Amino acid sequence: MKHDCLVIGGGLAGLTAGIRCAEAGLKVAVISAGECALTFASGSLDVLGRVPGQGAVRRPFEAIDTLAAERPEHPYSRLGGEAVAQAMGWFHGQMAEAGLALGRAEEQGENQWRMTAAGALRPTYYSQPAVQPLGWEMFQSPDMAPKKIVFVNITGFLDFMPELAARNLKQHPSLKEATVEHMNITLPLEHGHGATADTMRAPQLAYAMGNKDMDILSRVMAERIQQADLVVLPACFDPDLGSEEQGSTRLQQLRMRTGLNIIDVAALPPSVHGLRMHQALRNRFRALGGFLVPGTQAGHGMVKGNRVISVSTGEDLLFADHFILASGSFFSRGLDSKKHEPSQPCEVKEPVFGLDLYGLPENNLDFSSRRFLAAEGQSFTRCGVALNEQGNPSMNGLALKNLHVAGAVLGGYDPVQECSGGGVAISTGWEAAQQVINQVKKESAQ
Amino acid sequence: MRRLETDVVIIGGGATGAGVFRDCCLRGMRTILVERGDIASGTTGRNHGLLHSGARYAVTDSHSAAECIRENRTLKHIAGHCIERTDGLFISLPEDGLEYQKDFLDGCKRAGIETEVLTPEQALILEPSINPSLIGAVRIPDGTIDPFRITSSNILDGREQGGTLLSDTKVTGLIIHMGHVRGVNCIDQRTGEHFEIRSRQVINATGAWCHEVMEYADLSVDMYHSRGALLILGHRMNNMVINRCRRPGDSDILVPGDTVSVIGTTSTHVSRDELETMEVTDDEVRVLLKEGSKLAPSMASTRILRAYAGVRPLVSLSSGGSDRTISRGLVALDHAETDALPGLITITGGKLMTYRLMAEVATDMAAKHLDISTPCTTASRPLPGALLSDDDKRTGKKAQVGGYSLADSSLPKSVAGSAVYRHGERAKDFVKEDSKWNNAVVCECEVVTRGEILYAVDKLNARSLSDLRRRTRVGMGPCQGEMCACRTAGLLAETRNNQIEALDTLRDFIDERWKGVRPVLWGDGLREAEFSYWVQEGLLGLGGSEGNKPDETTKEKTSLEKSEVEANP
Ligand SMILES: Cc1cc2nc3c(=O)[nH]c(=O)nc-3n(C[C@H](O)[C@H](O)[C@H](O)COP(=O)(O)OP(=O)(O)OC[C@H]3O[C@@H](n4cnc5c(N)ncnc54)[C@H](O)[C@@H]3O)c2cc1C
Repeated sequence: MKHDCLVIGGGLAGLTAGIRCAEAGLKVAVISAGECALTFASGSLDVLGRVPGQGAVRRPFEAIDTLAAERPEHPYSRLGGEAVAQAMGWFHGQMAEAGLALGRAEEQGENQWRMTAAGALRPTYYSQPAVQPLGWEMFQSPDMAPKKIVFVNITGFLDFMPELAARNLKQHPSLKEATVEHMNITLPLEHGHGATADTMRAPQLAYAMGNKDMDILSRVMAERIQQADLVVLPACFDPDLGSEEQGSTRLQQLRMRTGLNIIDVAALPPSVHGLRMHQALRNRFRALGGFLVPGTQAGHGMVKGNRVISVSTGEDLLFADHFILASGSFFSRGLDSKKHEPSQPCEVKEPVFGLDLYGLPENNLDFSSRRFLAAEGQSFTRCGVALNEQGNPSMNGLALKNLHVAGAVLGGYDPVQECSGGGVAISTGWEAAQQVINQVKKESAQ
Repeated sequence: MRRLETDVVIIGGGATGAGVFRDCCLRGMRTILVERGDIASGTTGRNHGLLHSGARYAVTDSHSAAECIRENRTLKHIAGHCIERTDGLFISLPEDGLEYQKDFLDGCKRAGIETEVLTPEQALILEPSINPSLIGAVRIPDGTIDPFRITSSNILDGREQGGTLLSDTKVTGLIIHMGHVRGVNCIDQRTGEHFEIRSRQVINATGAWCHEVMEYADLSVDMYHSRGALLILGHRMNNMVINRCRRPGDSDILVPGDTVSVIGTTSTHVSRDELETMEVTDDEVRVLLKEGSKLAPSMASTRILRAYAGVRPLVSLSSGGSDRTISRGLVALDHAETDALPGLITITGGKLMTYRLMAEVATDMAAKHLDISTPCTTASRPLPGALLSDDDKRTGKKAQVGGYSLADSSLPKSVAGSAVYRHGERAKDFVKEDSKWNNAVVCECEVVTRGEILYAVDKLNARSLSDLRRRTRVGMGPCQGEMCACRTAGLLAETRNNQIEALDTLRDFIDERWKGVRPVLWGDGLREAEFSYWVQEGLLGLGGSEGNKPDETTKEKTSLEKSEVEANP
């Protein structure tokens, strides 16, 4: 079977591209090798949270236009703020269709805050469904900030650090006067088959909890937490997407039963929020008629002239008219690095096509910053596929017309420092699909 | 100013200082050990971990060789939980020829080191990872020694005998009265408090830094600082120590250690102001890989976990005219005799595995001045943790995999096994059936439990994540502390020990690990680093929130100020 479009990579960028293609009626397949970055995602989606040298960004789409002028190599620069906003809005709709109602700031086009399991605040655009998002003004001054915050953990669970988080959060300038507390609640874990929370990662814990546990949790919280403005729990509820209507998720029930303003934040990976979003993406893609091929590694791409003909996977060859490469960065093996010659810097390759790259190291120490959590970010994250003015990748300078590239395999940005990973994946996936759709339309018109 | 009083002050908490501490305490002296950082944070924490048989020096330095084999046997007896009796091979490659093997065998015989000559086939069966093109091999009783564990056990014994450890405390000067050293001036590096310790003897066990202490008394010593770089490979490639049978050279020893293997070393003379620059260079990585692959060819395709370097505290001894020899043996100076400055003893040079002997020599000197006649017992008295009788159960690779079962324990074997492997019979202090939450595994790579972490904080004086790494191996495995460092920081915050700022120590730990990863950032190491970056910075935001970033400029500044202080004491 020949597809209109073959997407390589089943992470956020690849599935976004696949959904957009399928929605437009294209015959589309997504092949995916293994774990993707969503497994350790927070579940919130960032667009642009920081611009180097300028600090936190309140209105990301406006900031993208400023960024474009200074950093032409940035994937956002080709798209512009408006297109990114459009892509994000479209994505929100798709997730809502799949049963995941992402939360946004009250003000249109503004960032909100994401609380981390270590008590840091990072700018983000969409959050997981929450009753009340952490709006931008909330942490700007002590007047607006919560007066009392309580971190709650399930006793023994190691992947959430309430004491550390409480101490860290207390350092925030807007919270110097606030009370930040923490507590542990011991649960029997109804479906845990005798295992205890200390042996579990977040998704296991979520499956181990039963109604009895929820009863205890809500009772103890209602009794022991008085007048907190914000209660923070690890994300270990609702591991599966509910098709249910409003008010029926465990977290929502917990809020109603305790009357507390509760948020759940991603614990150490694997992330319940991330896995759930992955599930929503796959469901949506399939519902639209997309063809998902899991457990399949793209081998080598066959190129003739300026067109990709096929991609090998083990013994098979997959043919398509158009290809979208969304294979992720080093972690997902969308990029490979090797040391061939001890005296040379390591060699970086995009393994499927051998595409031209941006940001290659000139010597080994160039490839990283001296400090790990450095404000200037890490250069290795900025290394990736380079695109020409038309938005196509090239092989030894030759542009490939029917290949498009999306997500973390792209070069020119640091998703972590900029808080831009989700937005770049979604908007470049959407844009790549858009280009394919336009070309297919043009071809069928001819 | 606060003033403490004691019989003996020891400066430096490496293996040597720790050994002196134990010996002094066992001989009934009131003893305080002062270490500017953590125990084993100097050269002791940056070496190869080879329990030499002495064979390496058999041809070139028969005195050192004889010293090594004696201590090798002693340590196997008193420190079983720190040692693996792996044995070692000296392999001859075609480019080395077999000529050297003859001298080598003679030298071993002279020094009393047992040898067994093997055919290449026999050697390959014993140790399949060696270069199959070898032309000959000799088996000798090399082993491995865990430098952190041995230091920590010595300290633990000393403290249990009543000794005091002051870590994070730097000696900034000697108190000299009427030609007598009467104590030391100190600064508590955490609080900034200055105080003094009055004592009857000061023992300078600061290794590569011993000239600094001697300069406090206007004495000088001709140090030869020899820097060595090493690479840690991602898994345990070999079960025996592998050496080249030729004159000692660069990158010619591959040592297994717990879950990894270590290739080393290079050897470069560095000046005294380069002692704190420990980043490994591209050149060093190149030499190590090139030569190392000749010992075990699969090294070329094995993941490298990290790179590190240390500085050997060697002393140049003039032996008349311009003919200088550099001794690898120990150097003990009783300054009462050498410089007419009673009250000060310097012990340096030597090796990790001769630390006990060095300690005995220095303690003998102090005992003489203090009129103490209690004999040294450190050669026969097992260290805490070394009491379990069955060596094989305690330390063999088998024990770690199969697990040493604590009596009547139903715990997973990996949990009990790792605990006993690292702490010997003392594991009973924290591996308990009933303490539910304490058996939770915090670090999966090295199987470190919550209980072990809390034990190290409580009983082994761990005050930071790096301290914990040295005592428990938390964060030392293939993932380099990606998640377990965060979990451990969470536990530290939970202990509410207000001497530990959990987030600061987590950041320091991450930066420290990063130093070792950067020179070898490619392949799976790069994948792992990217994952860590996503988790630690992206997911957790450890670099700090907006408006709440740890101020990088002040951090740079304080470390600058600190190094200035160190330069002009
Ligand atoms: C690359 C390399 C590989 C090696 N391999 C081996 C091996 O395989 N086997 C072996 O047996 N030996 C080996 N060695 C040698 C061995 O590591 C050292 O001989 C031994 O660790 C020295 O221990 P030490 O206690 O004397 O010194 P250190 O461990 O350096 O201890 C000195 C301590 O003094 C402290 N200090 C310094 N100044 C002050 C002050 N003013 N106040 C307070 N404290 C202070 C320092 O912080 C330090 O902790 C190797 C050495 C190197 C460099």
